[in-house]
Amino acid sequence: MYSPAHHTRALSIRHPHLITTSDVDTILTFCNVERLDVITVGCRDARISLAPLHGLFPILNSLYLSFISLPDSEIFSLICSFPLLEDLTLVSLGRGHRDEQWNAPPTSPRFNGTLKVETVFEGVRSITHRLLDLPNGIHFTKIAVSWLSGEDVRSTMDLVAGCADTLQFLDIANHGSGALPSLLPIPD
Amino acid sequence: MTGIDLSQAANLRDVVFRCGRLRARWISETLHTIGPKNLQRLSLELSHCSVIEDTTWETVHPEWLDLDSLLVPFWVSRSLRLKVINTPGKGEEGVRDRVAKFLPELTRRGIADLVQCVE
Repeated sequence: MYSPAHHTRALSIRHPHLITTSDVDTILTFCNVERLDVITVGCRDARISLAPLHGLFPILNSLYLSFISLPDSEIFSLICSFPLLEDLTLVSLGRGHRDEQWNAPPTSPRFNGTLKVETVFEGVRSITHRLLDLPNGIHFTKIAVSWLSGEDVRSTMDLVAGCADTLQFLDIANHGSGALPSLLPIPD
Repeated sequence: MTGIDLSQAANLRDVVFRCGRLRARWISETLHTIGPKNLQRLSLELSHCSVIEDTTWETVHPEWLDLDSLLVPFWVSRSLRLKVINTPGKGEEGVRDRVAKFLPELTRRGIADLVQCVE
């Protein structure tokens, strides 16, 4: 039977906690999705599980994940379930459960495309360390990060060192300490 | 905030610095670490919301003049393509006048593409 799902290349999922194992057969019809957006903002994501999505898109090469308090284990277990992943965008809009223990799987994605990390409150340190701990390393050609503190400078240096042989493009947005700003009058 | 050491990134061709704070020393410090060969493009973004917390224009202005004096020889020695992106606030001056306050020599020589963004 003809299904438009087979022709879908980009898929966006909001409220992924509503997906259960009984929905897997439906999602499997989206077998040619190459770009996936997962947005957990607005669904109290500190305690949700993304396990029903693991590995469902066999040729996925680009993942965008926007979250508030999603634990690292959920974020990186989802990421590592897609071995062909090249591009990764992580947008953290809150403070997550960053100190929990998580054991990296034996393999990790190829990560030879673009990495974008945007954080509002907590900086990029935790995400950086998780990425650098992955067994296959990182090989990004493009990296875009935002800085909130001096810790982010060090973390960015770690990312650059991890991609030293492949990195061609670097984009840094320096937002300083992250405190509320006051406008600077610039004299004529 | 200090700059970043990019000396290990031997294949780096394109760098973008977005200034959410009106400090420039971190950019100069970073540029000093970039290897001599591969960098082809360098972009700076000045936003109308570029702000400063606990200091004055008199404090940060020397940092921009230092960067200005660094960028000119950078352009000469590396055939680097320079771009300055300005996102003006309401009623602000044009891109050339604003960039000239930060990077006067670079603006005077006309060696950078000046781009005015509209939000």
